[in-house]
Amino acid sequence: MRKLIILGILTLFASSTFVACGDWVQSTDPQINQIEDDLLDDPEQIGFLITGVEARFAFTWTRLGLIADLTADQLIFDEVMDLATFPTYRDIASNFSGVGNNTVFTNNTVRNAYNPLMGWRLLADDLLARIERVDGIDQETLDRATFVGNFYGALSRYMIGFYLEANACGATAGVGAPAAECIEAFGGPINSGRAINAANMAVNEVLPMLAAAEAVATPAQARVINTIRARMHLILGNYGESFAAAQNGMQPGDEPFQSLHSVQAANEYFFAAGDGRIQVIPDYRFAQYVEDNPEEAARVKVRQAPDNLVNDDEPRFQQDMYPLQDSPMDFATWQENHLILAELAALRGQSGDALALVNEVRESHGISPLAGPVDEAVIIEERDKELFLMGLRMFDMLRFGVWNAEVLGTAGVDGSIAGNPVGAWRGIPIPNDERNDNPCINNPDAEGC
Amino acid sequence: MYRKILSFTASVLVLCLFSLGSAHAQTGSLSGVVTDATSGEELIGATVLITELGRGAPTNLSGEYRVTDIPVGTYNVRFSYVGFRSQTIEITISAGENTYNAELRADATGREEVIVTGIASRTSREISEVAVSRVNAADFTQNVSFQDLSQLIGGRVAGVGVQPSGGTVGAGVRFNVRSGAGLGGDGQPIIFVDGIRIDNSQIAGPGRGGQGTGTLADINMDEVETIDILKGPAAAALYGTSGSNGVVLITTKRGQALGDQGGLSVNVRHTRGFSEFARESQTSQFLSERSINEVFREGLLEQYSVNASGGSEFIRFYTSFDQRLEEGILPRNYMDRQSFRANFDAFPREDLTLGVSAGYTLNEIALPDNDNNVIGYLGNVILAQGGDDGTFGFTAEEAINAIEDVSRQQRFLGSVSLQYRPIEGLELNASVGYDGGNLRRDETIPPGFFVTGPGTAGQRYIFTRINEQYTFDLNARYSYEIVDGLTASSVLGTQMFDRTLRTNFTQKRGFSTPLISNIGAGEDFINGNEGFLNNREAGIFFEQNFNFNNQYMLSIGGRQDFASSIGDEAPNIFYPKASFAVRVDNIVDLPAEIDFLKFRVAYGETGQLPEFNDGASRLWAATNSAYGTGGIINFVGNPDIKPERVRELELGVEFDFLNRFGLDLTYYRQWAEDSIIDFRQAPSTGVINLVPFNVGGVEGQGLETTLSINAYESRDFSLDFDIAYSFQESEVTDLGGAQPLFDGFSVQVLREGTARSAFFLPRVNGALLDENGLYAGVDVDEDPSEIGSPFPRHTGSFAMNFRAFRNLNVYALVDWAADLYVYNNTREFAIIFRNDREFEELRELLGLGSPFVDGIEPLTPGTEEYNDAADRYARLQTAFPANQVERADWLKLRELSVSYNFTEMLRRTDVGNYINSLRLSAGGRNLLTSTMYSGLDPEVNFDGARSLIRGQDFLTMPPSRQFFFTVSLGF
Repeated sequence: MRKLIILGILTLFASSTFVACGDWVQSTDPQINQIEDDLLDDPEQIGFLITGVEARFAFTWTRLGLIADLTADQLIFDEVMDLATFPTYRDIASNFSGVGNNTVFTNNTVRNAYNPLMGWRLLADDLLARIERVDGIDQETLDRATFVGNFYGALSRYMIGFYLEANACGATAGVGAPAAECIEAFGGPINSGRAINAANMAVNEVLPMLAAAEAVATPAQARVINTIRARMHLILGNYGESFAAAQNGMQPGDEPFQSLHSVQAANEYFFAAGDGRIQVIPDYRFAQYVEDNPEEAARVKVRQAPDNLVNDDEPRFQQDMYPLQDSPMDFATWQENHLILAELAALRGQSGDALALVNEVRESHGISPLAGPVDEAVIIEERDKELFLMGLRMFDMLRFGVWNAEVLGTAGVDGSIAGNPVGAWRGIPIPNDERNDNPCINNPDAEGC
Repeated sequence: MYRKILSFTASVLVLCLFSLGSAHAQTGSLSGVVTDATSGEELIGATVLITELGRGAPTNLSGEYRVTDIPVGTYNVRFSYVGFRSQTIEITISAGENTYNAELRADATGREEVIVTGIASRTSREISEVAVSRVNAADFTQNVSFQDLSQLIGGRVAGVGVQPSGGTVGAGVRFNVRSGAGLGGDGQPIIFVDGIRIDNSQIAGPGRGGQGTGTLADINMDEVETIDILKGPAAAALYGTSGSNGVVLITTKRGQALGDQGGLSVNVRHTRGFSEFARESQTSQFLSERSINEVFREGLLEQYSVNASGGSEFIRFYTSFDQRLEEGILPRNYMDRQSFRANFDAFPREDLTLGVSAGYTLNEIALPDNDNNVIGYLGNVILAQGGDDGTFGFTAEEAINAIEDVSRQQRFLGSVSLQYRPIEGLELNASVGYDGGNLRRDETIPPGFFVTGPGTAGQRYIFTRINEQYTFDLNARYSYEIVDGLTASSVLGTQMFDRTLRTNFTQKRGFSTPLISNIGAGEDFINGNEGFLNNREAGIFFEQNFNFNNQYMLSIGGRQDFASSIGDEAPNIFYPKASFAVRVDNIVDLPAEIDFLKFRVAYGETGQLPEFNDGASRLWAATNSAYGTGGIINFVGNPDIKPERVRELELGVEFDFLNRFGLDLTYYRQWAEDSIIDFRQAPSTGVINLVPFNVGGVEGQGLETTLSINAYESRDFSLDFDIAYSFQESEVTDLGGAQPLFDGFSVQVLREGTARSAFFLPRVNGALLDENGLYAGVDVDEDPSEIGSPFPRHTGSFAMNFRAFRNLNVYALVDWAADLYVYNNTREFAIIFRNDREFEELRELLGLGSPFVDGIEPLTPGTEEYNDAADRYARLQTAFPANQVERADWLKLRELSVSYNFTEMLRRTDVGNYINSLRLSAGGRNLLTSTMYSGLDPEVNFDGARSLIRGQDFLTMPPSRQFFFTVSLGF
């Protein structure tokens, strides 16, 4: 009997404990650093989400722009610099010349730009979806959210469509060959679909969203939108559309449209090409520009790297465009808009005074005017200087067929230091993180792509 | 009420009458000495128990005992001592003095050891139905100085690999238990110290690579009495959550009653030694050989400890203070630890036991930057050649020397336990344990030195972490007899765990002078943040045990587990267990040569519960920016997530024969299903974090065997061997059809059909040659294939204990691992940075040129020598990581110690009146290494102890060789 009583008491104890355990484990103190999604379905939280989209633009652009400049010939990886140790920069600078696919597709520096780009796109889309389902948002906030969601949604799509590459088009174009057709093959995916090429991305995704943003934009914002439209059309070779947009684009006196940075949300150039760590440096021609014409120092900002970081007798220069962690980074300027118009006038059959436009740009930096005429070489060089470290040189190299430039100082895989031909990748390779979980990249014709 | 009062009064009267009567009865006393039958040495603290009376006495410092007031009669008297076979003798007590001297023989195979077999179950190994490994820590610590748990367990337990993540003093420890059970979690067992579930985290540093601080480094191994290890679900089911990778139960030393009047024993110990770089032979592969060998130094080891223990029948205590300073073999690496422990046991009544355990540690650990890091010592001397004068490759040596990274941890481990036995057979146990840790990590980079990141501005980083965790146990155990010979016990209990973790850090730059470094003096605020997590786990468990005449033992049980989570529903799961053992030697007459034969079979389930946030659909966090603070998606989870389940079947046989040999053989098989796999979504979805899904399945199996040999034993000499061998293998059976999952370097994989974390890469077959026979590239497989596993398939150890001239003791431990692979990322980068001698020589031989080696004539294309060199060159190309995955089998002379016990000699002199014992010992660790691995050492893992990355060497500090000398005095 005693055994039964004891077992009965223990069973009763077990039953009550069973019920209590479930409640006890759930009654914990809440986290302080993150919240669940549905708590943000609140008009008061829309401002918080808008800022998040803007913040991720800055985070993404400084990383992607850096890689684009490195993929092009404005930045180089030079192991003469003591701190240039991270070979992923070298791989990018040499356009992954000769390295295996494993290295191309797992490059951490690429991944560190690719993933934020895709996350930023989702944030912008989420903002637009949320303002659709949340009631009670005041009109000013609603307009701001509509602009930010559409504008940055468009910018993220522009970057996905214009900067990424699923296959190395340079491999088929051949080293040194004009590679304008490469841009046709550029493109990246959205939502695990097939890569959308630049032209389709522009027409079907970017331009409609820019139009939606323009509907609620201020005049200054509208001019930025038009400069971006003009740029895309120029890259795609749609010169008439580019001209139409550029005419309504940014004007002298307009503030540049920039990504903003702070010490905590730093400009990546500081850590890759600045005082934080000099892993990549400007191509030597930029120092030469300044040496040839000291006035150029106002727009081609380079300075000599500290001697103790250069493992060589020859001086090396570091970029000085973004000297600090909180240096803003230009994304679009009225000067670019002027140079688009100048190119369209001088080379693409559109109307306008190319020389006046070019000289107005030079004058804005206090640089003496050119005598003219404005030919292709002038446009290429002026754009090279004016758009220094704005992530746009890659497109000029494709458009003008100057990809055969040797990237001096970039170590090839065979270990030699200088004078190697560039590699096969013209854009930024879509990394393995995407390829492994999105079969539509390697096999666009697969079911469901 | 009246009836109760009457009953109570009557009882008291009866008791008084009985007492009165007994006062007049004839009594006698029993006294004597308990000694080691082999050596004749007195056994201090041995227990003498008169079974029928339930009382007895312990032996004192001279091994003497005395039990008084024994009614005249015949009794069974049990003599027992830890590590010795107990002896029960029938003794007739007559009035007056009675004497009996007992001689106990060593329990060479440990069959009598009482081990923990479940959360509220203890039994001797003789009748245990599951395999439990025990390390009698105190036996080892008396001669050898151990830095942490890994050194104490490593190589001594079949099926359990415990290794530090490298040779950095104070860094984390990682366990490899059996075949790894499920795919969820970090693969680490849960660890209890005196019933307290302790924090076993690795605390990451400022985020520049390098090892974190290991919280296990706070536990002073000299305080440990025993370590029991339940290696898998079959044994650990009642521990539930997280028990799938086993349970480590550490018991600290307790006081012993000394003599019938109580007593006190005081021991003082001093250890002194040094560590050194043990792998000079491996550095010649680097062109910077000189710089590498020059960077290492001799590290000092110094330890002082004092402990006192003793007690009487009613109260016992153990207290100790220990100070240990151990320097690493690189500058800026040391551990300076002070630990204090006080354990008390009180027996105020026959039916009540109170235990208090308290340990406090103050631990200061300085860690150098290493691993994937350009401001680490190894990165600077191994990757690049540096200057002609042996200077560092990337960052000035002065700058690296100037960096300070020091963690100071205060840790308190305390528990109170109460056992109440209200009626015969019923035990009520309650305990509460607390593990509180308060860590502050300071990194200071003084201004004026150029360091990647802050440049020359200087930087301060302060990280604080407060971790508090409580373990509550409440259980009842009722033992009873069902029919004659058939006994049973029923266990029911609950265990709860509550953890609160608070962290914060602040980072600033821009210090004007190195003389003032308070964080307020920094000009630029770089970053700062805080974290908070409170999570709870709870389980309710039961166990029913049957024992028929110590012939057949059966146990069934189960545990229902609950855990905190985001969302409305707490995940919960039931884990069952069952085990059965049969003692053949107690059933049939076996040949006389067979002393013991037991078969056992056990089945159990445990698993991993989802992480706290796993069930969330989407979590948002705030991010700082120049635009203000905005919201970003921080985590995307899976609301449908459920716990993983790991099942294990264990079969075993234990066999003692010829009175000298003990053989344990265990086979296990593990199955995991619904394993929680964190999947990367295609980033184009915008989901950047890894999302948990219940899609994983993995199977593993293995064999563990230990052989104990008491080869020779006499009064003056003895020779014992312990040989252990284990085999394990695993295979991922299910990923839900998903693509393989790769680690950060894309070299290791979780993939259906391959071993867990196997290296999976396209193999390089050799060189491609052009039509002229010239090297033209690498012949590589188109598709990847499994190259090998970072978990060794075969491991083993061989331990020898030799005693000569009664008091001289020699102990040696050799352990080994075979069929394992390590990714030599260090060499890969050394090749990239042109610091690999073979690579450069091959370039010269192939006519490709190298500015770094001289005097090598190029080979002629088309010759066998040229083709061979081309193949070797192809197999060093860094674009193909398979080239750097190396077979890394190793064998180490892990430990060697020689000790001499002068106690007997002392007792022959007057000094023996003041000093009870004197022991001198000398020894070494990691004395010899033989390995197939080309790197500095195969026992490294660059990403610390907790990461799932295994077997990756990336500028990781190799374990050092250590020598030490110890003197112990007892009073």
